[in-house]
Amino acid sequence: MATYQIRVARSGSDGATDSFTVELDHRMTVLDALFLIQREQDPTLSFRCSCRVGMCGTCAMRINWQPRLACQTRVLTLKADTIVVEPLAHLPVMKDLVVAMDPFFEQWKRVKPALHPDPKRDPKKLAVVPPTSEFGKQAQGKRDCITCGACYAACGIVGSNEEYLGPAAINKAMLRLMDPRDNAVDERLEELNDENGVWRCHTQFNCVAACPKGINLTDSIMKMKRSLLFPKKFHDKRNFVDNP
Amino acid sequence: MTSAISLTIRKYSWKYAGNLAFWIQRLTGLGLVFYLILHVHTIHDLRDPAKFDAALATFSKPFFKLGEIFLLATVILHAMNGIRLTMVDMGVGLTKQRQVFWYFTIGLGAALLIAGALPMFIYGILRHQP
Amino acid sequence: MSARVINWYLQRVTGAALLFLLVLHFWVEHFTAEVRTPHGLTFAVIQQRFFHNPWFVAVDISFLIIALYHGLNGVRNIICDFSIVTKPMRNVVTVALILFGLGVAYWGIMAFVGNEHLNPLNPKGATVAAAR
Repeated sequence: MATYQIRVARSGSDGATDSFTVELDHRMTVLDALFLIQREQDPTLSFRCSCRVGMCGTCAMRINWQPRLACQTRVLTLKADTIVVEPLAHLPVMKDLVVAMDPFFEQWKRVKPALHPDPKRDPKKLAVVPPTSEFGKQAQGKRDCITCGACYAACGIVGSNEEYLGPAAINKAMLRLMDPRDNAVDERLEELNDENGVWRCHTQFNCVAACPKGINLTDSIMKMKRSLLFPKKFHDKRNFVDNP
Repeated sequence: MTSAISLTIRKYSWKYAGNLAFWIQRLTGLGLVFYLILHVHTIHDLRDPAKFDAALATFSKPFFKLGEIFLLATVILHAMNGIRLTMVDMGVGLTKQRQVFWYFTIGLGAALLIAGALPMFIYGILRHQP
Repeated sequence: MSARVINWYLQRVTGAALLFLLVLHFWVEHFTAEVRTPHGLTFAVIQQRFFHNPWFVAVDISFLIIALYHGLNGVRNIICDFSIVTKPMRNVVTVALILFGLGVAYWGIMAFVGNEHLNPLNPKGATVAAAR
């Protein structure tokens, strides 16, 4: 057990933070600390969480100036006695640590994240994606995105240009463009090739540092930039699912 | 205003190489565009040899030689970082980007700067003859 | 391919070209034998160089145009990173930067083209250099 000072950003008055002193076991996470504060010290503290195992992406918040999942951040790993907990940047704060995810999902919707199946394709026929193919390799880690918004909050470009697609949306668009079952190629390419699409990425790598699932988002964005030199290859999905 | 600036500074992860490299590239790039315009203005004086030689005499003073070393540092930072960015664009070394930044851009860049700046310092400033 | 892809690609290509040209420029203006004199770089050195090898003018002018493209494209990128500059305003910015670039290029090219002191066919210009 160790004593930690938790400074939580509150939405009441402008820019105010409340300090709480809590006793935490070294195995406990920031989310556990927030629950402890809510139960024992200040029941008005607001935050969001649901799965507590890092698979829902609900509890993303800025912990010690870095967007992280509160349920996956053990207090010990922060190597600090004072832990600063703030809501995600670039998203409107609703209360305390709760933010509205609307700006993030507005950009997410722009790239048509859902599957748009090819009407000519027999839906009963399963798509075969060998793990050694291009799509197989890309999908390995990059489909793990849980839309927590950490990359969007970490991105410096979003701070000055809220019309930028954001790393998560581009990553999703790349996976859909390579998907052999999907047909909405031109619409997605148009959004990606927009002035506020992939061209706004200046490889700050902030999204890669922030992603709690360890997705190399910059790699996805750079792949899309290079692919836009030869956009026709997305019309033949065999380019991505054939074994090399 | 100060709170807005401090929020901006705290909002991004400065300890990560990519963010730092981005700001280096941006500020040096703007500086070099400004220098390019000044440089073109000086070169335009080639139409008037006397004026051009007078300008060159001014620029060989130690203060301007120091500025030239600063210019070399700016160019090297922008160029080495530009090579790193092209590597990122080609998908080379994406998982080792911090090492590439610190060892290649900063490390090799500092070595090149010393190699280039030493003769400029010795011949331009130390042994300067008015 | 759209103009945005080409711009992105050309920014890299011109960057690589500038790297080569800058090293050449740095070498020629600071380290060659003709400038390692007590006077350093003077008008006469440039004049002799141009009379000796007129390709210097071509290299200098292409260097200027490549650098202007690379630099002003970078400035445009910075401006586009701010959403307060809306898309119609960006077109105005693009046109303004192109006009500005053309102006600077004109100002730089005029240092060589139509310059009587640097014309290899003009003996009067050579006498100016000889008098120094």
